[in-house]
Amino acid sequence: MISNLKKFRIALGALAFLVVVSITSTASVADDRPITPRSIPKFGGTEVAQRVETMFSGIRWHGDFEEAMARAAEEGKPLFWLQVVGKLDGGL
Amino acid sequence: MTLSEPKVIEKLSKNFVCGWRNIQGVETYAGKSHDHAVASAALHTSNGAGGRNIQLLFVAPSGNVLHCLPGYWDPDGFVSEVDFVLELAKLESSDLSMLEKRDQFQLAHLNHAANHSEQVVKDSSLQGFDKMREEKTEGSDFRRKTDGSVMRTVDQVMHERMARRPLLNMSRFDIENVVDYGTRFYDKYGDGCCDLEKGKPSMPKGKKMEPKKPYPGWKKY
Repeated sequence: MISNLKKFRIALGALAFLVVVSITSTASVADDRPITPRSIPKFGGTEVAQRVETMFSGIRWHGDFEEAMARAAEEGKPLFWLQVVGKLDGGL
Repeated sequence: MTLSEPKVIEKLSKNFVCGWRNIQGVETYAGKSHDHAVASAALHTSNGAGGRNIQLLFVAPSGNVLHCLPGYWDPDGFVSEVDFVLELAKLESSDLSMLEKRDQFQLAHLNHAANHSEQVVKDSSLQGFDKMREEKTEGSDFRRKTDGSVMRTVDQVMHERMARRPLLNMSRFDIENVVDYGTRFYDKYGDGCCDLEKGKPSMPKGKKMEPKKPYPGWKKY
């Protein structure tokens, strides 16, 4: 027969295990959470302007391909080169 | 608005040198659109929409083109492609011979496309006016080989087009052919062009697709 104290300890251990597993799985899932705004039909003008500002403050953008390629070679990183009809910072 | 997502900003700023240029009136392949001020509304649309108006290029430090995504790409689809590009960058900088790198580059693009999620495929359907243009184009690679109907999606076709251009240097990369699909004018729900009312994705967003069978992948023999 297992004593009540032993049963309590087993239950407590199982609970602690579940908590750890739950926290670990939440942390690993969080990074893969979808970020596409499917529920938002469109962004309003004010939010768009804010997001453009965020994009410019978060990324250092080069305006010259050769210069950017030279920097990429120097840093050993690939180049992300965006081509757009219009100005990224002044409307498209 | 994909490039302003915090997760996207983090990935780009950490792993890439970034740059941009305006191709309006500079490149013959550049598309046309109405003007949009910075503070005008932005819409979520299908992947690859407006391929002549926007090109997202990824170039290895050596100058070899790793990938080219034309048009809009939603944040989830874009992040997945960025992760794929980082794998290609490792391959490109490895000690393998150029011949072997090119073989693996082709296989990587084809296998990546074959393993795109149902959601990515569903999100990459051609829009109505782009589909109409492809239907008039003889030999379009958007046609299914089985019945010839224009049902193939941009995410699949783009990887195939890249697989046919294995590690080409930017100076030899024929971007005008890579982005050659759909109409020259793109402005979904802009300010009233007659084409725009027809600008619905060819597959409704909510339509449930048949479950996808696991694909074993392309193999090198």
